[in-house]
Amino acid sequence: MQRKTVVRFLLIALGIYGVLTLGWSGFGDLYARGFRAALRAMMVSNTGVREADVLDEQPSSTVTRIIIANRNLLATDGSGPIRNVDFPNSTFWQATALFFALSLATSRPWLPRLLAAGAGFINMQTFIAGTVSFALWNEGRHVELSAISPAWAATTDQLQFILTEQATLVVPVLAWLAGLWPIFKRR
Amino acid sequence: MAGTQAMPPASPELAGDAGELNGKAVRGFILRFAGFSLMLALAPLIPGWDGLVSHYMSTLAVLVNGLLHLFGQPTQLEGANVFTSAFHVTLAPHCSALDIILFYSATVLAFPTSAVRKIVGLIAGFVAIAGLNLVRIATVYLTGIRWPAHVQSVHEELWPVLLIMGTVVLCAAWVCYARKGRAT
Repeated sequence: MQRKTVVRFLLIALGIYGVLTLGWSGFGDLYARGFRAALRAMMVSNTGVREADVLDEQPSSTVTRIIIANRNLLATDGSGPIRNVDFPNSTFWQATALFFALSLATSRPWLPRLLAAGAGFINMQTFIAGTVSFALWNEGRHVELSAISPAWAATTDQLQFILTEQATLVVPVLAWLAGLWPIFKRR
Repeated sequence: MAGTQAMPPASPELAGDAGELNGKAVRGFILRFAGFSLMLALAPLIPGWDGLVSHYMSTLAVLVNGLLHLFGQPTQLEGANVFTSAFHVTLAPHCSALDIILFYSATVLAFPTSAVRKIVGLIAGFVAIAGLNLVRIATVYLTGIRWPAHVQSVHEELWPVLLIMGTVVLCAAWVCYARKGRAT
């Protein structure tokens, strides 16, 4: 391994990551808008027991809030218990940006590099969609959308924490390595 | 174990120099890395973990307080609170950077090298990340004192990115160190 090559890779990756996360807030804002639009498409439905609403820039511009409620517990005027589930916009964007930085800094021809970045992006967003779905299911127990024992609740709360906080660092690296897979598989 | 040398952050070009990489080796690393990440992420379920984190946070608060005193700040300490009449920081568990430390640890543990080098890597990485986190908390406090309007962006936008960047660099340094050990 050439130290020069490592340094070059690092500088490019850190540069891309820095530009995507700190260079211009428009990237993060664009991602947040897309994230909320995708959530609406996935979560908001007029049928079923669960009612979900995705708020724009409330309680702040840095957070995406999903309000969930159990239609069976709501009064006819719409009042009743609700649960707010907040996702900081930066968490998922930083994970996605880290993935792009690693993928685009990897030295390989541009076509496979872009294909790997595209496929990895889809994988990342699938993971994020799964994470949000799990969080909503877990938080749903507070409005009787799901029922689990207190012992299991501690475990699912921890799992939610792992998925929303810790995995956002591990998953981009795994997605990046998975994108490198075709190269190594041929050897 | 021969031929297991792919790991983050490295590029295929880097890996190619070794001439040993193959699909099996990379798959092995990915599986170990994912396994260790999951195992370490479940650590909070271990009885007594909260107490351990609480001790760690108290120690961190003492160190932050000491560091701020070095910078001439007349801060006081109460549990996990570091404060003056002008500003205060409360060290919550998510200020511990344990998620970053666990990520780095999974990388070190998954990479095939000698146990001694892994131990050195774990200790050095823990010290480096904890040290960076210490600086992070101190700078958030100092920002609060001097530029209160920027506290949120420094705390929630700048430092998380810097911590991740620092960890990526640390992982790369670890890879170089570990591979050097394999080559000798």
